[in-house]
Amino acid sequence: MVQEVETPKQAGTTLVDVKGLKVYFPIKGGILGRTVAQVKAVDGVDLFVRRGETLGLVGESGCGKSTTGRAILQLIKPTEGSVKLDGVELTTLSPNQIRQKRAEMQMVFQDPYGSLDPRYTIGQIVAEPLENFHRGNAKSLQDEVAGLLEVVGLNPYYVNRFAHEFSGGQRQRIGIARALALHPSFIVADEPVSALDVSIQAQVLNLLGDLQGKFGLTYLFVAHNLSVVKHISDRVAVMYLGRVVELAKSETLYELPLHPYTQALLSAIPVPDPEIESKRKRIILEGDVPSPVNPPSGCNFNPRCWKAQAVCREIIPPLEEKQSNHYAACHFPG
Amino acid sequence: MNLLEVNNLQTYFFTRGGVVKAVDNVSFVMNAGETLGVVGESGCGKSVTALSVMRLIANPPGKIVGGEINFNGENILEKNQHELTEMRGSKISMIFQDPMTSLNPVFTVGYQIAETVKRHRKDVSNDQAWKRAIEMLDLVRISDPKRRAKNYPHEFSGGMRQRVMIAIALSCNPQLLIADEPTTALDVTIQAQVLELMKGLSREFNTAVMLITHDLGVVAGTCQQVNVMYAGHIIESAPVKQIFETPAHPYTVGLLQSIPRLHESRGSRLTPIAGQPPDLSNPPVGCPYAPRCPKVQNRCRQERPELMPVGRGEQVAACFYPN
Repeated sequence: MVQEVETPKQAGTTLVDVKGLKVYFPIKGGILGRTVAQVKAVDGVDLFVRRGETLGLVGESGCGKSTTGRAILQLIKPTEGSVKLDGVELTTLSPNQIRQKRAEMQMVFQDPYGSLDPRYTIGQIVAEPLENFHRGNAKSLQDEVAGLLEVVGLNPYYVNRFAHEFSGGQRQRIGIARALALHPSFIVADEPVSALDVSIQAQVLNLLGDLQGKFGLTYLFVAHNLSVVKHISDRVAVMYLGRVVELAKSETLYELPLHPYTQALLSAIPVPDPEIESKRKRIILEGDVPSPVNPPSGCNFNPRCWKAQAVCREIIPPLEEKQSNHYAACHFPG
Repeated sequence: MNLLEVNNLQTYFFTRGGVVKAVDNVSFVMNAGETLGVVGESGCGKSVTALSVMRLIANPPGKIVGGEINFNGENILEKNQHELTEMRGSKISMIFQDPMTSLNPVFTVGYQIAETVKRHRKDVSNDQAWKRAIEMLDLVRISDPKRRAKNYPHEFSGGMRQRVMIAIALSCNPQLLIADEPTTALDVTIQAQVLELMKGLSREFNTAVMLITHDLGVVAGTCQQVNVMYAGHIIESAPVKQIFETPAHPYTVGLLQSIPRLHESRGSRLTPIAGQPPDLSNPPVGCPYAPRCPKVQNRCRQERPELMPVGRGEQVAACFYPN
């Protein structure tokens, strides 16, 4: 993977650098509860996010995209690998040091219903991170919260209401206000719009875009909906069974996908245009995604790939720069 | 004669918070072999419409309070429980959204398919029903159906379970298949498999399909006719081409503008629909879309528009000022 020259605090430099990230979950079995196998949820992920950009992370359920997002934030302890935020290695920090770091990296969750405490008013929810980090006194806190609510398009007048009084889209705005409270530089958004209806989804996507411009935020946008990811991302990484199989600029990836899995994935997306739909040729993949407990040897995708050859079953293709700024992990790309 | 004719269907739910008019004066027709898409956002009444056709509205709190549903010329609303049981599964079948919970975990999938066949065909022996089950599994492209028929639902993946559901639904050659968000819980590559399969089977057996979905992409690729629902009403109905090329109702226009497209470059701002859908226990007077509509006029707030022909007449929209 290319290494950017580090000139801190400048747009375009690397903010988050992930190398060889692995997260294995043990499967316990037998009367002694010994580890009998491992779920290789994330199995060697390399990626970097530039300051001020949005990196989309897509893939189907179980491919490890959410786990990758959480492991970057150290919400799940990585089994192996390195995660650097602004040059600081996160994996070796003590729990207390990580806690301090959390002010710089925040998360927006998928479920706008489950991620807000039903017993807290939305004012308390948004103020909580500020209190935890002792930012400001009671008066300035109130102003800060009102300001945050306004920024995400909610009326500060609602500050004493509870989460259940709001719709899904509004709750997602509350979650975003909470994530913004400490002025983080990096936000992992894990499927932030997948629980919302299309008309509301567009409101939240626009909001995320506006906030990025206003505060110079850097996003890792995790989602399964490729149209949404394309809309919001500068670059997109495609994951399959715990590995990044392709990483490129958003336009390039959608126009000229190199990895067969990306090609199949793109061709499977229904397009809201009957004209295009009737002419499209679909690549229908055979079978299902293999189990991450016992992934296939060589390239993960080989049992479903129509281009697979002997070498694909033996050697894991590394993520290589096949064209300028276009990375793919495939022996026979194109 | 139309296969299915729904006239002024009204399905209300009587709750503590008041009467929720989930489906209010909905009328549409379906022909044999036709695929009808029903789109709309959550709570717009699309699933309740489907459940009403199956007579599966839980009472209380729900009740079909008015209208008629004619299937092959017979009013479903006048059928008794026995006749309904005969009809469900053999003439009209339904596939539900969640393939994880729609199958019974304690019976093999082969048994569950055979059960449906035996329930509706009195002359079929156990052996024949089992053979039919294997045949159906083969039809929905489950490999090694003989062995797989003896497996339990948990031994199948989500996409395969949905295919088993399709096998059950089609085992008695129904004339109408209602699919309520059949691919929403599935990944896109699996969704493509399932949709392709449904398209092929409906062509092969001339089965009419009512496809309920919130995904306009799915509609564009599979349906011939589309009903757009909003707040318990059909607000636009047209052949699929017109819906996407010349949408007439401002809501349809808004819906189409708010989806990010794969074939568009990045950076273009989405045009969301402002506000929220109305509370159905207390719907606005006049057009239900009026509070969110960019083209709203005084008249819209006082009178509710009926479906009116637009353009060349195949298209109808419930709007005073259509595009």
